[in-house]
Amino acid sequence: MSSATRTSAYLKNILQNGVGRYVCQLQRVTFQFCKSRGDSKGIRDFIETHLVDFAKQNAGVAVYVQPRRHRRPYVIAEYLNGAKVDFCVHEQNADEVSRWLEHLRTRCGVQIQRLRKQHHTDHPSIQGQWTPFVNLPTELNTTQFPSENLSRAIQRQPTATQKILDMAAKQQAASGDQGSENKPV
Amino acid sequence: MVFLTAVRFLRQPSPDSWWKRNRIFQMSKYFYGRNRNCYSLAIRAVHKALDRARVTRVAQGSDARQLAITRIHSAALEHGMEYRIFISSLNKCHIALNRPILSSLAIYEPRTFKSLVELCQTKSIEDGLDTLNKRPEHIITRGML
Repeated sequence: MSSATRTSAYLKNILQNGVGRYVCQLQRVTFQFCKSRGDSKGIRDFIETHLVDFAKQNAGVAVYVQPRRHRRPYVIAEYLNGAKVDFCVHEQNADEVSRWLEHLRTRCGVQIQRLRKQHHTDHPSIQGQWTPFVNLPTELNTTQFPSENLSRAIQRQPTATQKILDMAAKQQAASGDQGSENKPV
Repeated sequence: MVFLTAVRFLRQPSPDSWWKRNRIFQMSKYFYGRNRNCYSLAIRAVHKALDRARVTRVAQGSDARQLAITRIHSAALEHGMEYRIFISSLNKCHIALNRPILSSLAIYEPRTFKSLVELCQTKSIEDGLDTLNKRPEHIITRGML
């Protein structure tokens, strides 16, 4: 299915759940089934074998059992935020029903939909988000343009002129030394 | 005896086409003009849309990576380093940061990114790859990089 016809959302979840105290988000679960139809056999087996244990282990979840004649079997989960999820368990066996119930127990009521981003943060930047002025020297604020200093080419190696001047200076220094050596005391 | 099987088989009602057509119309709700309401046109438009979605899904990964690389390159250039040398130096220093994280750092944590670039500059100068820039003095490696 193309995503444009379905709603999408940014990541949003009850993330603080479990940081302090864990609260099961499932409020009540209703098991609708038919006593005679074949597609309800799995849910009937589940009710006979696993349901009482589930109710005892999850005391915070209200469990309702609703036999409905000649209709498909459903597991309806209602969450603390008011969301309602109806799940058809047509022709599923007891093991599959208990696994889907475990999924409904461990999720929250937020609608399952395409996430635009897989991350969310209230504080994206600590050092300060980049701007074009972050890495520029602050002296530019008080510089008059055009600036001779900044217009000069960056010298990575000494220029030819500089080399000649250096050679001349060296020669001068050497001849100066020689001169001082040969000077009469 | 009355044989009804053959007669009944001939006079079967046709299945309701609404179910088959609605599966297409669900996906064509936002299309232009008759492409959203007329089945013969809608089915062609929907198949085209699904095919385009498949192609885009494949291209999304490489597009995202290219964008991250562009961002890293421009951020590193601000500090005088190219992307290819930056990435290769990071790998040599065994810094396993991937491109999405590096581009996020460049945008949201510019000082961290700068310190990474300077580390890579030091590494590349020590390796002899960079002969133009001066070695940053505040980075101490002790030859362990």
